[in-house]
Amino acid sequence: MVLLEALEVEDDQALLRSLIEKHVRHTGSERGQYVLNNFERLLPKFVKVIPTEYKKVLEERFLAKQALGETQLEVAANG
Amino acid sequence: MTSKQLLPAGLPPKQGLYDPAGERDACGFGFVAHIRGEKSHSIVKQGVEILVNLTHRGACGCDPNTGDGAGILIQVPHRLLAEECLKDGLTLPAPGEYAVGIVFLPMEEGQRLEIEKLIEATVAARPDAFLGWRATPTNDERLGPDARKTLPVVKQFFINRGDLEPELFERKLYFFRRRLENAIASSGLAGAEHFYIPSLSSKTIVYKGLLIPDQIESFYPDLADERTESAIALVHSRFSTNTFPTWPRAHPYRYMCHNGEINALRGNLNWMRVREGALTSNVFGEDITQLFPIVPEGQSDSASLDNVIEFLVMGGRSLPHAIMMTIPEAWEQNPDLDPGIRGFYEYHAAIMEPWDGPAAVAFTDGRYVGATLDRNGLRPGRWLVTTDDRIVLASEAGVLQFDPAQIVSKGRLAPGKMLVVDTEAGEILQDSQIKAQIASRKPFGEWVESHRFTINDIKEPAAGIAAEPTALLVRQEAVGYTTEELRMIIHPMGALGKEAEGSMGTDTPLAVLSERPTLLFNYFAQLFAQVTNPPIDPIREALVMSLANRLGPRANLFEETPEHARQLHLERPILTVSEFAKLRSLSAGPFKTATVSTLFDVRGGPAAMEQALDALCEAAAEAVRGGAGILILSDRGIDVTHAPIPALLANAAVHHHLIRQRLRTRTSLVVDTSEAREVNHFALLIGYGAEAIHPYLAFETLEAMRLRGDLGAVDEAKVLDNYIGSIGRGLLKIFSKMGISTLQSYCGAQIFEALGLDSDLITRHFTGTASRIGGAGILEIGEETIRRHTSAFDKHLPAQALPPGGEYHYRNQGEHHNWSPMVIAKLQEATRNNDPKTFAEFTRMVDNDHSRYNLRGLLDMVPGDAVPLDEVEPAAEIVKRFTTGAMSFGALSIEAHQTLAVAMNRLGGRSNSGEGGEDPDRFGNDRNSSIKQIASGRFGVTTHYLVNATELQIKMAQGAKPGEGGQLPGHKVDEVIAKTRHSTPGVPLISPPPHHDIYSIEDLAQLIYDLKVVNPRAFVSVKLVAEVGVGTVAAGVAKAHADLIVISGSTGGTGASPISSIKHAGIPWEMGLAETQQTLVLNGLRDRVRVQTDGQLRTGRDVVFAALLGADEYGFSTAPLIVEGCIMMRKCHLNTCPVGVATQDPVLRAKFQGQPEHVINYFFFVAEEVRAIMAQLGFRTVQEMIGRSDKLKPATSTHWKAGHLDLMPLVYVPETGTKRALAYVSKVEGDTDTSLDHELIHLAQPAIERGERVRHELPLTNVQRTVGAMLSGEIARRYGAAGLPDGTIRYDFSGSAGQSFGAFLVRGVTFTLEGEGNDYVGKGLSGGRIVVRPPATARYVAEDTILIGNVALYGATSGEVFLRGQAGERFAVRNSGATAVVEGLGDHGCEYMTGGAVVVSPTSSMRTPASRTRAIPAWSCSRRWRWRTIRRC
Repeated sequence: MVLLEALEVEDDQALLRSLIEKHVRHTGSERGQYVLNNFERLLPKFVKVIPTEYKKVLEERFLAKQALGETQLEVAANG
Repeated sequence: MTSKQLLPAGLPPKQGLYDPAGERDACGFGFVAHIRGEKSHSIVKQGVEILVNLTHRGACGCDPNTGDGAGILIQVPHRLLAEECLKDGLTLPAPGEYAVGIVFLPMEEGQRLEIEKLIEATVAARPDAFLGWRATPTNDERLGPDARKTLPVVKQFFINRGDLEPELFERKLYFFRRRLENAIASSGLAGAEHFYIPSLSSKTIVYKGLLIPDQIESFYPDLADERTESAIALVHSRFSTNTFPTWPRAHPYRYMCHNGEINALRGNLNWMRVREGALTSNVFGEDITQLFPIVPEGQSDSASLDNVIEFLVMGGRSLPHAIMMTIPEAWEQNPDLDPGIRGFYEYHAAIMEPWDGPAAVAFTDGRYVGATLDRNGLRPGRWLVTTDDRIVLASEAGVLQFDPAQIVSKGRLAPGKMLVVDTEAGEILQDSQIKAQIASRKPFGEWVESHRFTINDIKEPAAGIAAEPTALLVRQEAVGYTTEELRMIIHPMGALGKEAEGSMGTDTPLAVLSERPTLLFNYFAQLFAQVTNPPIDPIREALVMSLANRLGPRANLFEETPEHARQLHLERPILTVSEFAKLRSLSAGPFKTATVSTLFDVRGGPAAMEQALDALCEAAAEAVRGGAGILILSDRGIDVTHAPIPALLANAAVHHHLIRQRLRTRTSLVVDTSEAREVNHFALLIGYGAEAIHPYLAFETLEAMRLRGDLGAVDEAKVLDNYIGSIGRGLLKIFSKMGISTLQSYCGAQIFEALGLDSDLITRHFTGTASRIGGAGILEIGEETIRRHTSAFDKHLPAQALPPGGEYHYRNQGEHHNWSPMVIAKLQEATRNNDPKTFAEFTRMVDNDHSRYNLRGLLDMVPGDAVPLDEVEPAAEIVKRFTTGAMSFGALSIEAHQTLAVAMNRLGGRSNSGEGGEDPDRFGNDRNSSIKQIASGRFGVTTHYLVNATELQIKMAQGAKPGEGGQLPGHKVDEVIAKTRHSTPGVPLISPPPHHDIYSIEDLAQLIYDLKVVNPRAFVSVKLVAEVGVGTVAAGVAKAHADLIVISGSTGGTGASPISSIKHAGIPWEMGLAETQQTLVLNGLRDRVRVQTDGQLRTGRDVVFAALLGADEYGFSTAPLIVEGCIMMRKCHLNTCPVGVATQDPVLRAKFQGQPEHVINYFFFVAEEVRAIMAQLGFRTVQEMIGRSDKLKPATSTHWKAGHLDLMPLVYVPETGTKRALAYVSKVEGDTDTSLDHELIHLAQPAIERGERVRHELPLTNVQRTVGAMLSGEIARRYGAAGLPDGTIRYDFSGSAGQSFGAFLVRGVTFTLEGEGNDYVGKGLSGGRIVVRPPATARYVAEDTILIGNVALYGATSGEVFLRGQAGERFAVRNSGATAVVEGLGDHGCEYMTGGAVVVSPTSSMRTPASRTRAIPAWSCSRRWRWRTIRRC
């Protein structure tokens, strides 16, 4: 039902870093600071969990977007 | 077998549809103890303080000064007692050398003296034992009138230990108390119903009563006395579902207090009773029978569990041992469990089935004090240890205030885990320590290993099973198979391993009203959990579920021998042909099988079946006496003269006969049946005691279908696999609906209600099952069997094919359907043309049907003094009481959904959003749905959504599939729907079976409070589905301050659902409504809550009946859909609705023909009919008609089965002595007056008015709940979903936040909390930011310590949360847009997420997110620096 993946996509890595940065800023977390200090080294230890169904839909949408273009897709859905 | 048991004073007897056995309760609980056992008064004082700070988890009824119960258990306060007794001239021996009993006695002096005499006489059996009495000081000044009604005299008495060993002394005291209880119950003494002994022990004493927590100290001045010292204080604040003043039902009981509910109680009680037959004990000796019944009838679930624990402890087991036996953790599928502990659990599973259900139990015997949670962790438990060696554990954090520097460590109870303090040894024993200690007492694991026996250990017998003499087709017909059933039910199971799905509810008659012979199975309705306990999620939380069972004799509860482990293990209850053959071949040893035939000779008519049943029971008992460890009930050999007794009847009758004969523990029941084939059949057989089933005709049928090519290209093994697999999954779903996790607990638990069966039949063969309106008896059931048999074996018409059926879809010649094509056409014609004449024809057709096919058709109205029609209130007023049902946009097309909204807004009635959220474009105009639903999925439930409602409806259950979540298949989720639901197009949307923030009645009260705080202008309704006990639940809901209760019938339900749920769960609304009305009136709660009903209401007559039975408002779903164009294709779940009603396909939606005017026409037609009937009955207003069930009387019926129904209980009007309201009068105001948000809003005015930045610091305690929601509602009302710019409002809190901290917080508001949070932090977060961190002075390591409670971020749609510490179970479930960072999680986090992102650092827990992938090594080592992102969007 879910997939476990490495955080390979740049967007994912950026999101992770920004969330942990915010976390440290708001809470003063020592653990968070440690991760930020060693981000590149620790990155491979992060696991991304994503439901199979969800990923499938994302991929399909990505392909559909490429084929159709965003506007056409919306027209089709709203029509 | 049944013991005489008095109901405690204050509880009304069974009457009408009300049964006191259905009462439920829940609570807040806690304890404080000195770890090294130092006694002091400050412990007692702190105990009372905890109690007071948990007041909001208890409840009051209509009398605000009478609570539902509060109590405290402490060690015997020797100093106080000795000094006080000395004043009366009584010298107490040294501590420990005497016991103190505390006893409730009748007020009336004569009665009291009689009972006191009996007590003294019973004790005096041992010379010098009785020391004397002390009148316990009580002060009733602050008690409310209800509590005074049954106020007892409280006294203490003292018993000398003499030269008895301390342990033996406690045991003698137990004997003494049980003897006394039995003696007084059967004495016939006046006032005996007031007698109750809260405790009798040399170690502990219980002070409790029908009190509000802050009354306890003033009522019992002992507790405020400085000389009252204890090292342990265990406390409990109760929330009960009634307002009846029952003093004994307050907790704590003698060893424990309990928050939760035992779902499998009926089964547990039956099995306890059964065990009495096999009990011997060296400890108790021959006296043991004096203790029976171990669990007296008529008590609450908690009291029953306490009885069992006490019995086990008295029998020589330690208290934690007894707790582990009754509430085992989920050990079956946990490979990381210590082998010794696993061995312990496996061994004891053979001795005791789990007392399954949500439970947090705190227990003490005066030395050990501890607490445990059920395997699902459905109740909260938070603890802390201080620098001065105190430990505090309670339902909430923050119940006692400490300087942060004083706290050494903190934690939470995890699912199935235990925490124990040994106050003598002065140590805290964590779960693994205490369990390992207990498990190592005996080599349990080795015993299990060396005695394990499975079906694979049996040799394949040489001879197979002989073929049946009669052709398959004939036998199929004889047990009621139809071609429709093969196609719709059996086919998906065999070909795909799936249960059949359907939609649009059911509109066929109840079994007892059907003209046709019906299988006995169809007379039963599955019960399901709602409000007081949650359904379980059998798929996502699969780890706690188990289908395993054991066959063979069960040994004595008290001994611990290796032989106890000798049982035949089954992984699932369905046996294959080869497994059955093996089992049947066992001819010696403990598993020796015996087969008894369940056939009878049809030539003798129905009476022959009755005789055969008696003979069967006798033969079964004889076989068991003869040493049969496995008893097979077989209906093989069906032929022209022999028909089977219905398998369910044979099975239940033998089960109960063996219980009565005390033989049941010696054998296991295996049913070899031609009848069972659907999931519901197996559930029933197991529910009535079958331990394994061999459905041989179903197997033959599948094989025949396969050979014909009906199942596609699958081989025999695969078909079998599919079929057995689908039965297993279906069973788990049925168990989980009732909140039961294991087959072992479900077996014999009888979680069904009988509908339309004679009470003699039920009492004798289905003992303990509710059957409230009588009905078909054994002769009618025999007649049904014979009719089927005769038709199948008809010589003149040899069977060519099975009958066509017609149960699921309308068919000519098939079963009757209320919505036949003719009826549909008439209704559409009438409303489209606005033609009253056609509508009258529609009504005539429908009302004629009623007389035969619905319960209300069996009632007649009693004409009164007619009034002129023009004096009856106008239709325009009546239609305001109409609502349309909760059908989501998503299930329905936008056109169909908006048409209903527009129509209802024009009428002044209310339409319902359903559970899919709503497009903000519709807010504030005539397309807005007045009712906004809050379902378990929380789709689109934003603050903005909530403030745009006049009614907020909490959907606890839905008629079509109570106990299951709704679902929208991916192909119906287009762009617009995905946006409304905060999800992604194409992804299927599934709602969890339970609301994860409602596991108990006090949780529901909390959600109601949350909703009232976020939108104080709306009223809150709770939707329930009719089942036995729904009235009791409704009373609890009214006490939880709901403004409106909806009672849904089982027939309605437009959504897509498994067919077995549509057909077999829930009961008609007439019964649910009548029970609700009667119970609310009995409780004096009716005037404060509105009641609505729905479930295939169609005509004015239906509305009048609903009013007379007690409904203020009337809900319609199917009829308005038909008016809009629905033609009952029952394809809602397929997206192929040909009339554009229930589809998202743009081409099909273009075919939608419905107009608001049609719907308006329909409701006015109905209202005019209502007026006409009111005029005849003599009512001028609907208000005066509500609840006047005296205007209804049972009609005479000549129906061959229904003729025996007794509908008097349905029209019963409770006699309450005083005049009580029968309808809604006014709501309870002021619920949210004390909310901190009034201050927050005041402080935030500059921000709200002018957008200025606002920042304040405030302290918090746990009694301040739902902080921030009203402020957020206010902002959403003004600024819509956008809220305010980020950073506009900031509040910095410190302390312990109450439940629902930051719930529904909107954009622009930031909350920081230095301290800790409880459950539901950030529930429904809508753009706000929440930061929680521990105090700077804290001594514990932040990331290793619990910071907030369970179910945080439930249903959040946007916003941010940062938590420097760990969160409890079920974090961010159903989050669809918020982001969060947290340093550790409990079990089941992030399930059902459809958006947002969560970053988590690992903990050692087993059921953390995506538990299914736990084999990944990266996860199993937990203490390393490793973070985990859970990112689903």
